[in-house]
Amino acid sequence: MISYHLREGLRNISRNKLLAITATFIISISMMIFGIFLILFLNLNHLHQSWAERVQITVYLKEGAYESNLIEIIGKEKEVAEIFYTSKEKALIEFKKELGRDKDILDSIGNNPLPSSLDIILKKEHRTSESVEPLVRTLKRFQGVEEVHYGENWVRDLTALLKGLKITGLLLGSLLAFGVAFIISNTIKLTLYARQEEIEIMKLIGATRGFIRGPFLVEGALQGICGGALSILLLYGFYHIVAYAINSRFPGFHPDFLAPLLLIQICLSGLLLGFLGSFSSMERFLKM
Amino acid sequence: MVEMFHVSKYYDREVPALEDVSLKVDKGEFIFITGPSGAGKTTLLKLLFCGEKADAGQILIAGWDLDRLKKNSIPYLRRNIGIVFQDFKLLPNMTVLENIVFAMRVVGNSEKEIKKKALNVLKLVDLMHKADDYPLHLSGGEQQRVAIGRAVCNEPTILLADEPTGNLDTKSAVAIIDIFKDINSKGTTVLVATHNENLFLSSGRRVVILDRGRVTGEGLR
Repeated sequence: MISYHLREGLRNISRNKLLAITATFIISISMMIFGIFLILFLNLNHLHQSWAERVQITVYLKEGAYESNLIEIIGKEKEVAEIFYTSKEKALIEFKKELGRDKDILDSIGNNPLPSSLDIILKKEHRTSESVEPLVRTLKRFQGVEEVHYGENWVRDLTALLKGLKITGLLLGSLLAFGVAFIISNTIKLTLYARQEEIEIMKLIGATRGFIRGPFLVEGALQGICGGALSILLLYGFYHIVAYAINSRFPGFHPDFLAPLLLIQICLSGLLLGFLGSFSSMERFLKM
Repeated sequence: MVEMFHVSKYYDREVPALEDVSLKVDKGEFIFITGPSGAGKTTLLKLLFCGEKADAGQILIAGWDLDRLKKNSIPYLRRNIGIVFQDFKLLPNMTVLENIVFAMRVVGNSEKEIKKKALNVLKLVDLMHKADDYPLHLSGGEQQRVAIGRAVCNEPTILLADEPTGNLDTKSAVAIIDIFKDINSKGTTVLVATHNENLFLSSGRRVVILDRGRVTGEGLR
């Protein structure tokens, strides 16, 4: 019975080749748009995570502040893993190293203008903007603290962007999923109208709804999975072009492509959407 | 085999398609239903194969009470009923043999069974020599014989025919009725709706006369 449905489904497609090809292509474009979005989201997420892993807070101390007291107090905060102290003198040496040949500029200033500082490394589970920001507020209130730096704008912007992308992704994903199901549903509807007579005869000679539905469900599912697979090929081409452009501008930055599991999921969601689109079309048609 | 009790069907409240029709057809009987156009012959047959639902009354057919029949059981009822139409309703892109095989495949026969039965059906309707022809290359009579072949290939207990000779010449019409007689002689109950009196005159069969949706006469002819 399954082989009958499969054979008839394939026959449906070959009878309406142009229609099937057009539908598959439109589906692949829709799924590619979603795929592009997914690549963008995953890469930004990756960037966010890798930044978060490296996050550290630098506390600049006022002249004459007691660093040992501060290290003790700050060390009690639950987010803190390690604290490294950099004295004024060490800061100056390091700065001179960074300046290289221009280090003489500092000699002309005379006094060491650099503050001593504490570099705070956070525990892994607290390397998020939600944890960092309250901690920074607390640190700013401690006596002897001049300034606190942690790249706040970056974190805030990237977190907000990711949140926005997540919501947009959900909306876009649902919209495109609906679009794919709609395209398949309409393609199947055209096939159904073309084969109305045959379906009528099938009903009269005692075919069950399942038997009538089978080939059309196969047709929808095949179009969906082919659209999904084609979208992956298109995505891969697109990714290569964009990755090349990014690489030539920012050497060393390699955007990631979608993981194999995600690619399989894209194909399977194509299959599922095709199946559902076809099913809804059949239901409406069989009720008539 | 078929029992109708006070059955009515209205497409339009003013003019009933069928009104208070009661009819009993025994197992193995061959009856004609006749009447002018619009008398309700087609509606009566449609009610029997669940193409329409009665608005009043009760219909029992081959042990099924149609009023209580669930929608998803209709296909199983139809497997007990062979239907022949005036316009044949053949699939033009399938050959004679494929049209018959298709009907057998639809109800889930195995390929082995199909092969065996299909040849017997072709012999029954005398179309062995046209097995690979397409319906549009056949005469009206031959097309109707394919339709009969398709209707009986799953060995239904009842055969319904709606104006089966309406598009045929006299000679072909006689041949079709002969096939029905042959099928009936093997135990199948046959109901033929026709306005053509020549088909049943001196046939010795029971004839039910319908007019404006009501049974107006009944008797042997």
